[in-house]
Amino acid sequence: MYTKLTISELLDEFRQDERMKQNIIHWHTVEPRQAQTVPFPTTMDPRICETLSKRGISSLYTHQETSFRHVSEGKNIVAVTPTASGKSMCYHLPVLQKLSEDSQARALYLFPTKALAQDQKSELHELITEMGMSIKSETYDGDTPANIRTMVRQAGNIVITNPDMLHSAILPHHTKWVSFFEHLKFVVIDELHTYRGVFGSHVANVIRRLKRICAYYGSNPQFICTSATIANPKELAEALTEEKMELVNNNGAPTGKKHFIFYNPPVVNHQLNIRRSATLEARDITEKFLTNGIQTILFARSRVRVEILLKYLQELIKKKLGPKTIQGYRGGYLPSQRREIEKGLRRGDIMGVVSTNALELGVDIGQLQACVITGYPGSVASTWQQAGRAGRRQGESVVVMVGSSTPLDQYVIQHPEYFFDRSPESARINPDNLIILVDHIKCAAYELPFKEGEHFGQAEIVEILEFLTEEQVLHYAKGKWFWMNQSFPAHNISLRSASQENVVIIDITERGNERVIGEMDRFSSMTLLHEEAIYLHQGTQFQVEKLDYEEKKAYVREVAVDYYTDANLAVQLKVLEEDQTLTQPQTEVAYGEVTVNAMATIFKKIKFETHENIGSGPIHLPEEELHTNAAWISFAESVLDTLGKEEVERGLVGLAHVLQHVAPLFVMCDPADLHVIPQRKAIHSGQPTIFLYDRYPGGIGLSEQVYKEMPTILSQAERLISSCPCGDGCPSCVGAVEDDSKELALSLLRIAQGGSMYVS
Amino acid sequence: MSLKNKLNRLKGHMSGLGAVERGEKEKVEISKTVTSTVTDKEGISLTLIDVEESSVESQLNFELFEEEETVKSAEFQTSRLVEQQLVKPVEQQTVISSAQQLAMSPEQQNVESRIEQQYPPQPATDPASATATDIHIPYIDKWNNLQASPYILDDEYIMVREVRYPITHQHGNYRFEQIYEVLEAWERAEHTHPLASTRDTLEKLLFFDTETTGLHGGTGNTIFLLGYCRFEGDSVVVRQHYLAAPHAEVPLYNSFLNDARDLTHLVTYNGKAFDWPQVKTRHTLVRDLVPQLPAFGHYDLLHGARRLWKNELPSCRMFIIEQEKLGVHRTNDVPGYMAPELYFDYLREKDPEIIQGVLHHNEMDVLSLITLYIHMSKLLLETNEEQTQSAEHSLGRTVTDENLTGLTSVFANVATDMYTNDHTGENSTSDISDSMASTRMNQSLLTSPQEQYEIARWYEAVGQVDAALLRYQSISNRKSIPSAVRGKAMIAIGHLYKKQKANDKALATWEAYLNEQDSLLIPEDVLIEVAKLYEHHVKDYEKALHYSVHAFDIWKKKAGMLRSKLKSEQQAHEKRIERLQKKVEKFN
Repeated sequence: MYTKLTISELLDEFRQDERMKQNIIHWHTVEPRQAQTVPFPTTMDPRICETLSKRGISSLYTHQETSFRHVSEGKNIVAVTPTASGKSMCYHLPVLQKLSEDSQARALYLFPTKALAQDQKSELHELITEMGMSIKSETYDGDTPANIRTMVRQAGNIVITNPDMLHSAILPHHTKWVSFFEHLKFVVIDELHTYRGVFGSHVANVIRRLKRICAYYGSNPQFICTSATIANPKELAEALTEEKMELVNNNGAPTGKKHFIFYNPPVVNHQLNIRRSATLEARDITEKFLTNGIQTILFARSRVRVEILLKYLQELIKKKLGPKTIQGYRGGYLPSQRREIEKGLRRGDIMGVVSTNALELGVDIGQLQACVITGYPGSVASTWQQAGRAGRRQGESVVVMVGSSTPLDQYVIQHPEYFFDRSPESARINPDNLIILVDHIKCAAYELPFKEGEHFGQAEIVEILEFLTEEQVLHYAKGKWFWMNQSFPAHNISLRSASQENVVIIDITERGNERVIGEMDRFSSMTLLHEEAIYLHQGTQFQVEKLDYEEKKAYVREVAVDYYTDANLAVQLKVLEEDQTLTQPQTEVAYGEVTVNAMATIFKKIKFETHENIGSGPIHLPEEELHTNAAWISFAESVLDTLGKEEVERGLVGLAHVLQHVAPLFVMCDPADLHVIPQRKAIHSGQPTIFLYDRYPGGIGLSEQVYKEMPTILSQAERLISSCPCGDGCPSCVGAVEDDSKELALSLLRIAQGGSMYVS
Repeated sequence: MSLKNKLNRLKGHMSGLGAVERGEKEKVEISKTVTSTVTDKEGISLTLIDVEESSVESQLNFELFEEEETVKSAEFQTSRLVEQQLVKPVEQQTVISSAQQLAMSPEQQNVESRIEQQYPPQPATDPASATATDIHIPYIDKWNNLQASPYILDDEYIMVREVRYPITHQHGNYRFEQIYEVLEAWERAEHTHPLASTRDTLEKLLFFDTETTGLHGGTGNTIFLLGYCRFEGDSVVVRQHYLAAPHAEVPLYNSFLNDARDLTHLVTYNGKAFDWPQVKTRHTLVRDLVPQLPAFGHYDLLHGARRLWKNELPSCRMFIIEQEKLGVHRTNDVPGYMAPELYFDYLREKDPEIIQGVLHHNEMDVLSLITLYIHMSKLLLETNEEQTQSAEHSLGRTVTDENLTGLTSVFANVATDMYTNDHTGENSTSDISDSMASTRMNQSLLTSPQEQYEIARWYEAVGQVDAALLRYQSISNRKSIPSAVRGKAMIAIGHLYKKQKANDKALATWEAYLNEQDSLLIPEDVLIEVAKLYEHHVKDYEKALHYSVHAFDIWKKKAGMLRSKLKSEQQAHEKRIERLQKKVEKFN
């Protein structure tokens, strides 16, 4: 009879097993931490104290008490604490306290996604019911039925929503929310760290608009923010809200012992130095946890990986646990399905979940015992967030990160100190980005006319208002700028880069019972929902029969085949117009308009288990085009001769990698907002070139800034490479870990700065 | 680079964006038509309870959130296209290309003067004109020519235009005074209806419509014209409060609300979802400086129009209703969607000629509300005898039962529509159709069977079961009516009887229906209903089985045609048949 092992027994087995031993590169143990608590504040309403006592809570963690104190003193706070540290109490307690004193008071809770808002709603409802106070709290989003919306507007004490909803549904209709804005005391911003880059810059402007409306109705709410660990939470909170913030980071929550294992799949072909697939290794490790009854989350890098892993695991586990005990979780599942999975995880009916980074955010799925990460997630902060899914207040937990064979993964896996010593990334925003600012000034003018002398956060707005007047969007009369345009500006401005256009996936297996089973953004649909693609959904295989790209519908039929499909996406960047150029002896720096074309070309059928290619076919879909702005630096063709073609290519790749990290610092955006592409032979000039382009249709001013800052960016890049202590390159500098790539990148940098190849 | 230069660079971006915006709007508009049977839930004391209209359709794409309802009517936008294709394409296009010219076109002035010759509107009385000298009002003479005068409050002015019509004036198929007939008829009527009103309230009815700077509801959508007409003694007075500058909303709402103080009911077209919520929105911004909004009752005629003509007309846009149902034919009308741009032009130029066409458009809109109210009331009040009489009268000349036998229901419907539209097609000669049109004109009272059916449904929906039953019966009793409509009426009668627990009557009605319908066109649920009555009420299991099998057969055929086979439905059929077979065996 097979007996289940506890987690520590299993870990002991890991330590002893020969195969495991060889593959475990690093074993990091985080020692348990005792709780640090303080008694309930004397000012806290007895009903709140009583409710907490009934739950067996007799004191507060230090960070909760500090938050409560600061907020009752009227301060704005940003609390930085890890997952499962009772973070939400940092805002629930002061808000409920205020509501116990003033039943008219209102609070606005902002979450980056609807799923998070739903979670908090249920948590809050429980708390309020136990307290026996008549506090109305409700979510307000696209799913809220019309009759409830009216109630929320008129009487909701706590309104839970997301920034997009605030932007396009609440602020433009503020006259329906008069009493809400008149009595608004708190704005809670959870998951602050997600508001970075262009998205964060948009949200900062939405908050400027919110504050403007509040001022109009005579309120001045306090801000309570919470954030996962980032390098600069206070700075980010202050930039986002333009208010002075108190940082709360005295986490007092206990944690159990946590193991962090770096696992490298074994080499299967020594000559070619090929390692076993990380997917398969991660599957095997997860299976070990699951068969021992250890609740596990498995992270995969893409949606397809999620589904493939899910399918494997369901097959393996079916007999032992039943297929429903392991589920997938990713963008594209319908909200109701996601809620079910979250509940199942909390209740423990679901033993395992395979997820993309969709579960990185604070969706409440309870705390799991084990977490397996397939491949390095790409950033330190992201890795810690995924790892944070495993960990209990008592007892042990384990995180296994399985490296893939990419150079980046291999570097991280083989240099654990790189990961453990590094502080997480900073989050940056630039609310005064001209294009973003102009967009939101339009929205703000729609909401209320601008008066002469009025401020919009710290932004300079008079010239923009005059510009919009010239453009006949605003009308100036009697010292005020009035909105005079037919459009509804908020509808044309999306806070997020991802297009809102989704392809709906329709299962037509059963005639007369066609149903929508999921959705996918249009860009991904090119490679995942093309005709003949195998689409995996909750481990079930579907074949796409027809992709109606115009109507954004994909018709799929259930099939059972032993392969999945993988499509190639050809990406091409073309210069349309060179607006500005700066010519130097050996290089040219330029700025202009470009198009980036992506086209799905062919797909391959790949057999499960063996991963061999068993066939292929063409994809007939129109090109997706991104028309945007770019800055670029071109090298004279002569460098190809002096340095060598291969070498130049390696140098460009390395330099692009450095720029991807350095440039966002100078234009105050997130690395994901700005793309860097090296080309050995650019289409427009035939020269070796590195392009940096805005990842937003029409451009958003980032690359223009890059063009202007190019000398500084290049010298910073050079400093970064030379001061990096690594030998031949690492993810912090040139990325790839190949011979001399560091030196090659440096050579190119020196040329770019007008020097010779070797001397700076 | 200076901010100025940057902004100039932005221009390209902006114009590009403009294109996107326009594109976006088209999209929104079109999608709106599909999903916009939404009403304002918090509208003021809604006297009209319109069950059908209150369903809110959930949209799959939940991330982009329409802040509900308030889009200037659904129909209004799509119909623009339809209209351009179907109705006077040439004229429409000229309008688009040269709106301003049109506003001052001699042609239109001719029209105006023609109207004046026929029914000279009485000059407006104007209390504010005395103070008008204190403040400079550009083009005051032109305003005066338009019968408009300023209303001034704290150095801000708006224009109030007033036009009077005698109640004998005919607008479309009716004279305004005919409203007395219908109000008296409502008072006499045995059944109540949400549209019912009384003579006492007549002068408290406000036939109301706005013009706004945008199509979407939202704070920034400014109402620049509050227009209405009302009965005052022996006149109908049109009064339009016009926002002459965007900062003059305080005088605008003061002027309007002081005027409307003693009114109790609004009559609008899509006012529940658009106009009135928008008034509330803009009023909120100046609420401390102007009177409160009164709690109006609200008759939104769009809801009724949709009930009656949704299937018959390409859209229920006012323009179409006027042409098809009210006999109102506008000439040189400035289409409503041009109003915002013309207003923006006005704000720059301040010349009333620019906005003149919009004022005229709005005037026609509010006057047509009276005509529509009269017409709809007449349809609803039409008695059985009148229907029978007129229907037999005209049917004899046009479509007979012979023409319809053997046709599928689709064709039957088309035939019905043809009949309704006076498009008699091949079945009759053109002079017959002409004479018929004139008959209808004179009688002004001729509901098509389809309309009668929709009216019956309307009564049923508002709980007036007797009124509904009477109308359904009047349809089913007349053999001359196309069988498709009669069939629908008979099915409905059966359901009403069943609800009243009059099972024998229900069974008789349905069996009569089954006997005369082409079996292919019978909806299987009627057969199931009949089977259920035989099984549970009459306890004749053989007959029940017979009908169940018949129902299953039809379902199978239909399912084959529609290529849809719902397992659960199939199981329900099979289960019923199985159960009945057992019962038959047991009791035989």
